Amino acid sequence: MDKLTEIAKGADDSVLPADLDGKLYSELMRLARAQLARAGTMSLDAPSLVHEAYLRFQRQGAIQSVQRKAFFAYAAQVMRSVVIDYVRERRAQKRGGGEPMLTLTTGIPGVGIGEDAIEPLHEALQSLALIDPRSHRVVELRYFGGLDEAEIADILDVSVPTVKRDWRKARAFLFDALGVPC
Amino acid sequence: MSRQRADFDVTRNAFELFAQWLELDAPERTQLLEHVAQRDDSLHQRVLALIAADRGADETAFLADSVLLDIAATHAPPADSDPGDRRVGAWVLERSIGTGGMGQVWLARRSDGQHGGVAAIKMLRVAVADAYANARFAQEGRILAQLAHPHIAMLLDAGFSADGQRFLVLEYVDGEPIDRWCDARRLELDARLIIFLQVCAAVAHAHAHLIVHRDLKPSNILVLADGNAKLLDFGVAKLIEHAATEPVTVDASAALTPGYAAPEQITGAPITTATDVHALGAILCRLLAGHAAFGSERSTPAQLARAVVDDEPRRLTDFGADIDIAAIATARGTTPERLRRALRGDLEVIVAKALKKIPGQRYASVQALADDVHRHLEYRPIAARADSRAYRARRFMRRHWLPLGAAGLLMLVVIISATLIAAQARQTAREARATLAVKNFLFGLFTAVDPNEARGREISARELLDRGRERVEADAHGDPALKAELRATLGRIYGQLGLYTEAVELQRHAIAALKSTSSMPVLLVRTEIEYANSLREQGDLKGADAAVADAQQHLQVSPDSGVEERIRVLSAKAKIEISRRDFAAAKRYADASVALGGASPVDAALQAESTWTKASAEWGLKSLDSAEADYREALRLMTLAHGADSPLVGMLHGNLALIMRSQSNYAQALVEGETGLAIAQRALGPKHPSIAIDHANLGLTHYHLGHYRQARELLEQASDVQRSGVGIDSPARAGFLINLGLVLIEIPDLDAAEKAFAESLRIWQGKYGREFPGSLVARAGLGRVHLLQGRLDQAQAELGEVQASEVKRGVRDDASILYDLGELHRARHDPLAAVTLDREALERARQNTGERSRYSALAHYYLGLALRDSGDAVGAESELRAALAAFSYIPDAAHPWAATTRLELSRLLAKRTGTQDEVRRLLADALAIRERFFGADDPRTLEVRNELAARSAN
Repeated sequence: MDKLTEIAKGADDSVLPADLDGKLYSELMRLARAQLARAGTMSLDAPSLVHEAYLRFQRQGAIQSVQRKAFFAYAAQVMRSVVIDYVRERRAQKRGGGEPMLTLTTGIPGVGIGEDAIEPLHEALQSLALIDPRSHRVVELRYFGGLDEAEIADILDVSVPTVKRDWRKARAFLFDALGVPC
Repeated sequence: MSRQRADFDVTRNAFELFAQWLELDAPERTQLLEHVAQRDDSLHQRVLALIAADRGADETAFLADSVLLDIAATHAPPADSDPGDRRVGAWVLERSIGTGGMGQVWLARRSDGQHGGVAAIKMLRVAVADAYANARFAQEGRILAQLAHPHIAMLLDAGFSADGQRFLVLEYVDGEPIDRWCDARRLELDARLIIFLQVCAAVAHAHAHLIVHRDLKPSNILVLADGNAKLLDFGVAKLIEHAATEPVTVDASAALTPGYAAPEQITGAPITTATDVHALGAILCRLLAGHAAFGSERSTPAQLARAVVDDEPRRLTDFGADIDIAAIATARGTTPERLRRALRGDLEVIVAKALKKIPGQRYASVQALADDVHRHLEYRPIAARADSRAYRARRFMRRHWLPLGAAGLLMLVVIISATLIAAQARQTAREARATLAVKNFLFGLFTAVDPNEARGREISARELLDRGRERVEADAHGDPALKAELRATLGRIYGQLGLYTEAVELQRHAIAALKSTSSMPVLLVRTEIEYANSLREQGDLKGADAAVADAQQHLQVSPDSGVEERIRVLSAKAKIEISRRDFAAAKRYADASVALGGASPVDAALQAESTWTKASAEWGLKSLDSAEADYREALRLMTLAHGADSPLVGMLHGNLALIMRSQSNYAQALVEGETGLAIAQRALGPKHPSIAIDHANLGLTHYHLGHYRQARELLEQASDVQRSGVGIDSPARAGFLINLGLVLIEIPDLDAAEKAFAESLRIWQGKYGREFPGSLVARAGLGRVHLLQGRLDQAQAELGEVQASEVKRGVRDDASILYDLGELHRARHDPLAAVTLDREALERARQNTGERSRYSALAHYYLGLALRDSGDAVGAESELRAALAAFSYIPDAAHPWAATTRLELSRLLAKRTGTQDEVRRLLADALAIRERFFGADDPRTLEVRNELAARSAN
């Protein structure tokens, strides 16, 4: 856990329970590991982990429906931390285990960014936060949170076209910053 | 700190400008960018980078999936993927062979077990199946469905799976990216160019269907183990017709792989076929020079995008400090120095033209680019090159890598080059590579000669061939297929040099080897046909028949052989029949070969050769009009195949000149001869050695017409050009000097004629001895000069020796030695001996050249004078009239010798009564001719004028 959650708390504190932080992190990490363990047969259209965590917490009574928007906004940030930690952990294991790097040579245009690009992406996203905080949040909600454009518009209280435009700007910024080799 | 601050400000400003740019329409966008460019260069570049990134992100579906899917994709290596029992239509997914932002590619097998039913199935991921991705995926299917080309991965099937996933079934390409494939095999530049031409063909095919690929790059071009390239991924291809009707906006999402993108893809200008030409230029740069056309290996996409828009492409030969040229050269089977040399010139120009910033300045089409690559491979001048004579001449010299110097050699090398290339077009990749190896072998052989030591180049060519043959025979461990092809090629060259014994030997070995490997069926058929030609030239017509029959048989069982081999077989049969003097049969075969070529799209050069053979058969049948028509058709085709500047075209004009001579149409022969000369001069410049033969031929036509001054000028030029180009001892020069001597006798300038004959004799005697036919002709020329100078003893010795030698060798083709001897006897007041010799001369001349010819006419003339001197005035008159009739091969017998004949006839008639009118008419005609040929003030003209005045006064 790092300063990201601090920022999040500052931004949207009064609604969420104080102990949510630790619980949410553990839950998302657990869900992520479970899902990644099934990677080969992973269902592509399954609900995002943030949605899953929300349903679970709601059933446990740990959170209220009215807190839904705040929860999603917060959970996307936590998810980002989970992912970064997970990737760092994996990389440490890889250094020991010598698992070969994956190279993808296919005819399909482009490849999804690999695990190794996620940390640089995280850093580029921090730069974007300084230049255009809202588009930075769109990325966080969409890419890390797995939320759709309507949900994001709702959370940020803007229109869907604005979300689309912010997404496009942010994506270009990040693509440029990452210098994806061609 | 302040510097970081400044960087940050630029980044933020750029981001804000980019955000503005997104909101604008196309013209406003251009305006904005221009404005920024004027204000701040680094800011402009940053904005361009963001625009490039926007497209790059779009095209690569950057961040299209959620983060867990990206991690999951990394987790699950394709090879480990277990598709379970997944079926898609008639296909069973076996394993994942690739993953991308848009979806996944699977290796699949037909569930019904049909033979060979392996395919690659591309599935669109449901998670990213938004409307845009769906539309693009569907578009790819539509586009691929239109394309059927051996170098494009074929679409086999398309549809939706049971769970609603869109899929495309594609030909499975088990290959390597083109650059890695070439490097792994250490392919030389020429072989790389041949594979590149396959890619051009595929792209040109797409363009013909109005499809622009937009994402050409090495990783999209896989090469199979057999050397066949396959173009993949039309995922971002676009139909041009849309671009034509609606302006392409940036939102149309052109492809972007910055290293291979065109400037218009980054700035948002319209995308056309020229965009693919640019990408092909970048790929060619990578294939040939091993480095990127823009940026370096470490450039970020943003840097690359900026370089593509702003920087000049890196020259092929510009290997910066960051590039390991030694490794690049090794991967091309050469040394850094040689690689630089090979890349310099044409290839640099071709790549630079493809990579022009402005689409309109690039090659107008992929075909135009491919044509230039093709021309380079044939050592022909490329179109992109400045149209300079010096450049074309250099190309010519390189293409015809045999040392030049004689017409026969010139023809030989042109034909080799033409046939090699014609064959390559249909060869398998295996054969094409072997052919290149052969070409390189020969090229090395022939360029190894120091031009300074290459005197008497015909001989050095022979020595080089022998050297090559020894090298091939000594290499016992070489690749047998390559050895067979080397033998076949050397055999072809020996054959075309007229060295048939060596040719037959090499071709026989080559055929035996090719029969046992059976991997090069096209070459086998070709070599059998060439073997037949060699046997035919040796006079073994039955052997030639058998060889052609073998070729025909292999042709029938070889699926790779095509219509071109069938044409060659028919042509070979026609040539055999020509040798048999069965011109009717020859014409039947030649007609068939021409008809076959006319019915199929064959190489114009091949069709030109068939038509050329047909014309020769017609010449044999004395159908001069048909022959002329066919020579003209061959001329047209040859011009089509090799351009109007080709020396082969010049040679055909020369053949037409010969036809015209046969038709006694000297005026037209002059026109054709001059055309041929002009072509040769345009192509090669006035100083080129091969120009000499054209000068000489034209000079000889003038000689036959009695234009001695022009003839002298042309033959002197021929001799000079030959001397400066080839050397003072050039045998061709010796031949020109003989002709010059004959002209100088007529001028008359007997001293100069003597020098010319003496020089010619020196050259030939030094090379081949006194009994060589050329030496004998020179000696006879000296004899005639001495006869005319009144040095009768010397003339008698010389002419007598030459005649004795001819009698000994049974040579009967020279009438002039006999009437020269006759004149000697007449000068010695022995007209009866002269009559005997002149009658023999006349008989010989009629046999050799027919009644209406210079030699028969002169024999009649000298016989007339001998009869007159022996007291037979009637016989003399009859012979002189016969001479005039024989001179009528020129209209109105307007020849200086016919004027002299008229003068002698008038003197003979003047002794009789009642002939005054005819005498005056003969003198008037003679005067007109001498005035025309020698001028009004020449003593010979004055002589006739005085006689005419005296006769008229009587």
